[in-house]
Amino acid sequence: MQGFVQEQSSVQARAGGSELRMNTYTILASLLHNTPDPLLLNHLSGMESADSGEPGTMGRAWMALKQAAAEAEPSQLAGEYQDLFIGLGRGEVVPFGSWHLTGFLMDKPLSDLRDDLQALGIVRDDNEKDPEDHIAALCETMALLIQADDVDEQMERRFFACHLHPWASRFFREVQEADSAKFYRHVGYLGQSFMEVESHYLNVRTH
Amino acid sequence: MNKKPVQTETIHRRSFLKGAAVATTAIGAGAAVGVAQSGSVEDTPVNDQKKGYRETEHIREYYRLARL
Repeated sequence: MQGFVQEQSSVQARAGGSELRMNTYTILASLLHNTPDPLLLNHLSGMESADSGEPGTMGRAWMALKQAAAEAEPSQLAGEYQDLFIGLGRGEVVPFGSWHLTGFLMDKPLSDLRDDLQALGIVRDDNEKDPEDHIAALCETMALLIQADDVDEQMERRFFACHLHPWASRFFREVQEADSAKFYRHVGYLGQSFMEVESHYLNVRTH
Repeated sequence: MNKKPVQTETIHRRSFLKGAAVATTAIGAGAAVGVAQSGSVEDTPVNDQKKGYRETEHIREYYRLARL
């Protein structure tokens, strides 16, 4: 039975997983772009598991985030976010791809990304000041690509492989290990777990 | 058919990218994590009774996804 379920899993994922993938990317984007507001925390803490079996990695990650959301002090989250990602000059963890890939902000990886976004017709919001290689923007892009009817999985794979896979796992691991991360430790765990699932799903090789 | 949106706008008052609000609508309209939103936003009424079911389904799916 177990084997059957496992064999079915990839089929299931391809057939019905796109909304789940899209929503996971959107939630990660939301959590990484801003401090979560009470409504989002409320939604997260209201998740329920009806599966009595042994949870997989993602199941454990969701449940841990649920618990963290239930226990989070909304008033403290802003400070945690600030310390983690913004800081004085720099936060504990840098949320921009270019920095992770070359050691510099707004370096070549950002211009490559901008070329790809332009080709896809995806544009940064006018009110947004941060560059597009912010992890939240990349997660939003994946959500848009998954949702778009005229984008095939090959394009999702390519975008993921070029712009997320090379650094996102490392970023999420750093979030988990950061001193100031409490609530966000669980976001990091969810993100890292999801990146692993995604690299399998999209068949992107680990370096 | 009616637009919905208070929740959507509250949660995703700032998306990073133009047009990402479309992608985020599904989440705001249902539950943050649980939405099994298929089809367009307009033809998928979401109500609170369904929310729990969808959340549950979502988590169950992810147990499977996680075993890939």
